[in-house]
Amino acid sequence: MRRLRAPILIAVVCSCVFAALALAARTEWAGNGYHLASGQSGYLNHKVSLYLSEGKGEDRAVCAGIRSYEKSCVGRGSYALYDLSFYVNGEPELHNHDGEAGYFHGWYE
Amino acid sequence: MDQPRNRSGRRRRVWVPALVLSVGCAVAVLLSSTPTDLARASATPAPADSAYPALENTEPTGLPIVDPASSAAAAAAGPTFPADPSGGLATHGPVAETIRRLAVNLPGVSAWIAQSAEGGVCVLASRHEPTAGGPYGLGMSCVPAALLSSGTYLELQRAGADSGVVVGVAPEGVSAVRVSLTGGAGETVPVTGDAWALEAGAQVESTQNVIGG
Repeated sequence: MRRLRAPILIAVVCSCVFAALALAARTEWAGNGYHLASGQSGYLNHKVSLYLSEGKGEDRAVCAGIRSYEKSCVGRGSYALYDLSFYVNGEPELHNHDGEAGYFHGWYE
Repeated sequence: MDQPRNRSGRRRRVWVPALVLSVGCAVAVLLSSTPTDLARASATPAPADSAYPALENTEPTGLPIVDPASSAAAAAAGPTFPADPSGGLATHGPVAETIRRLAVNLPGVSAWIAQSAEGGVCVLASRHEPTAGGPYGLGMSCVPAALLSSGTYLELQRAGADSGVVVGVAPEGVSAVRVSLTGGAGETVPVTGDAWALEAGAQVESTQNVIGG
């Protein structure tokens, strides 16, 4: 049993490291055909721990932000980021800032 | 007589799974660090583009670089830039070491310019007032190297507002930016020190650089 301590310890440490990395990782919450009409907003629909919201339109102007805080809106071809300095319990949001409907990608960290 | 062999066999039984686990963990960590972190380590941003002399500004930025998980971030009396950025911030966002302050003629707003991780340019802006929830927000807009000549802008919109403050950067040689707003309104804003800004009464529809006088 004592011999099994080392592998068990390694497994536990690895699980902890992996969990920590997963928590800090960037999550894509909108993508793969995420469609918004002109002027429409999209939300994750539940709160998560985040400090950064990112958005990119497929040749569309986009806003990326955190619901009930603020958002950063950019023109076509630009990548939008909104940083709140520290982690809050909030909801990432995207907004189609373009005159035409289109497809969008959204991430949070 | 065969005791030593048994002992070494038992040792092997213990260490083989440990070795497999360790290698597995190393691979998992490498994979989870994504191309982002690997790219950060290997990719050097393109040299400061001469199209944006503001990138050579030597003034203090006034934008502290702080770990968002630290207590210092929560205690900051203004916006901060995340230390050790990962994800999209590291692959497309501003390169922390290149952030420079911009002089914008807009009360209550601070702005910065930076080289983007893709060799393009970014504009960053923050209001001097915290958001309703308490923290100070920092908006960022970045374009890749291919769009360096067009510049970029961002519009900071508070929750519930249909318009906001607009801050942009334009390359040397651009004297003004024509901003078209929703509802048909428009404004021509002069560019000074690579920067332009306005308090917009409506959303920005498009912008057009005006070259020369």
